[in-house]
Amino acid sequence: MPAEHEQSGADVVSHSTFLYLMNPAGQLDALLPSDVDAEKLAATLRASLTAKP
Amino acid sequence: MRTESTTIRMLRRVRWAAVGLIVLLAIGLAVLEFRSGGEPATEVSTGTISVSVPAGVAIGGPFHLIDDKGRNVTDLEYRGRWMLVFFGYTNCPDECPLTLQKMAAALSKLGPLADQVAPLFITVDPARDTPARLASYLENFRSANWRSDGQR
Repeated sequence: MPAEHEQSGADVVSHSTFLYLMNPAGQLDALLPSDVDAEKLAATLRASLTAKP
Repeated sequence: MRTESTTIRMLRRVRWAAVGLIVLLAIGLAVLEFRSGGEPATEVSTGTISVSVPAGVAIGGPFHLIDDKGRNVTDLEYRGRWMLVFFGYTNCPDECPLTLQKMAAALSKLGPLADQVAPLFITVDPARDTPARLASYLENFRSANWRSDGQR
């Protein structure tokens, strides 16, 4: 992926900012925006992990 | 007068042909939509957070990556475990470290349940993010069971 130089000099690579929770079968279970807070993320994980045996 | 009426008739015919075409097109589209199952956007919601994925956009599938220890890993290695996947790169200024911190914090909140989750950081900058670099970068966000993968 081509890196571009910002004025700051930092190399920027564009990428998705989602967190993907995949179930044990490898399928998408939840898609979380990366601005989710840790509490919410933990709650989501707990809900998904305990919902399915 | 006669030529005018002929012209009008022709125009009418053209109009009807156009209407017919539009109707056919609509029917065709409806059939196509029906055949494809008329899949609505996949709605993934978790509590108050809801993100919709456009229909036909497949998320997931097989992968083959090199992990932070230089080993080849595929998706099969993670079957039976949950994967919490985040794409980023080590030079990423703000978003990546913040998100990784949150991932680590959330996993530590889970307690023993976290053993069922494999957190994966997949670099989108494999040219610079070598396995060694990823390994040392992820030391900053080390939780009990953190695994990282570098894409190659």
